[in-house]
Amino acid sequence: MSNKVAGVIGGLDSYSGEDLAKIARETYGATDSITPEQLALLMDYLVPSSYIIRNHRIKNGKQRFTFSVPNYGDNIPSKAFSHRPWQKQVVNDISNDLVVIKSRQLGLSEINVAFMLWWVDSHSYAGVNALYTFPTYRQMQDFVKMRLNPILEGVPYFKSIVDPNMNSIDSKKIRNSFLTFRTSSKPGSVEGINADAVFLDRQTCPL
Amino acid sequence: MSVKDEVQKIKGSGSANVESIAHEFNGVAGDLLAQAVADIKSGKIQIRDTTDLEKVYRIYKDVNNITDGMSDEAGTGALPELNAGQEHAIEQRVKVNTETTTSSNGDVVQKKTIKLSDLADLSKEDVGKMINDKEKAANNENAKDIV
Repeated sequence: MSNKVAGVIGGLDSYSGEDLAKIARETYGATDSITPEQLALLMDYLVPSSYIIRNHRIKNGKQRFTFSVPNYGDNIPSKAFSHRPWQKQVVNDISNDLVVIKSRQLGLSEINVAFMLWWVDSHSYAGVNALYTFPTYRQMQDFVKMRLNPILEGVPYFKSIVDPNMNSIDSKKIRNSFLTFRTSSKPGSVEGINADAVFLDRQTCPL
Repeated sequence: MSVKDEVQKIKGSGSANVESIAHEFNGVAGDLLAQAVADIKSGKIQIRDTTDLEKVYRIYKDVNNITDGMSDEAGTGALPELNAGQEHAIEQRVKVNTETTTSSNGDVVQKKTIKLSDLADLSKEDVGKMINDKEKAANNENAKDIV
């Protein structure tokens, strides 16, 4: 399923109508029809950017997520800061190996986490494992505490799918999937971790 | 008392209130589920494979109205309504039918549905445009939060 995603890989025409009808039957059981809301839900789970718009929040879980803002250039700074259309291409690119070389402060850590949440949630039927690393332990701790936890605790949707019995700084369970956070400063810290997807954040690369 | 007897009892009460029937039925199913769990633990009922387990879990979910976090933020179990732009993006690509029914208390209820056969007829290009347009409408709705 994850090979058919609207975005860079397959383009916007990745899914056919037959694909949608098949997924609808598998999701909602033997039925001849579905509601527009049910169709919207299906489409949002298929496409990372749509899932993020539906579920992700920023500013401690208080502001809904946008990739672009209409009239962002009308001298209102908050609109300009929230207008980040380049992020959509990155989240919808599901290449096996994806490397982004970028400047600072483009919101890539935010969408990395948002993408990871989509990935573990939409693949939870298979009980997948994701590993997210930071250069230092301090960075990891700050990120989980200040950026990830407010989303998981503040957004009702995520709150309902996070296992409260496994929700620490370095590991979390979402439905049947697991998130592991580690520092990448020492090879030993990631030894033996079972990971289906690896996210390496803030790897400095002097050019 | 068997499920059949319980259902007959509910039907015999003459109540046309669907919610009430559902509530009573869930009560019966809940009692039977509790008994089934006890029988599973004692080995009287055997869970042979994941299909058996899934059936038990599905009953459990139905009885407890578990929606796996796919519902609205208020947790009412219903999917959040689409805004006009999202509805338009879907209606532009696939036929949306409106079914009108009358509820037990006389209210006229309209429900929009999409036939899966109509959905299956969409080309890849149509699906791509529908996804993109719906996403754009949702994005612009979210942008209203920004002040």
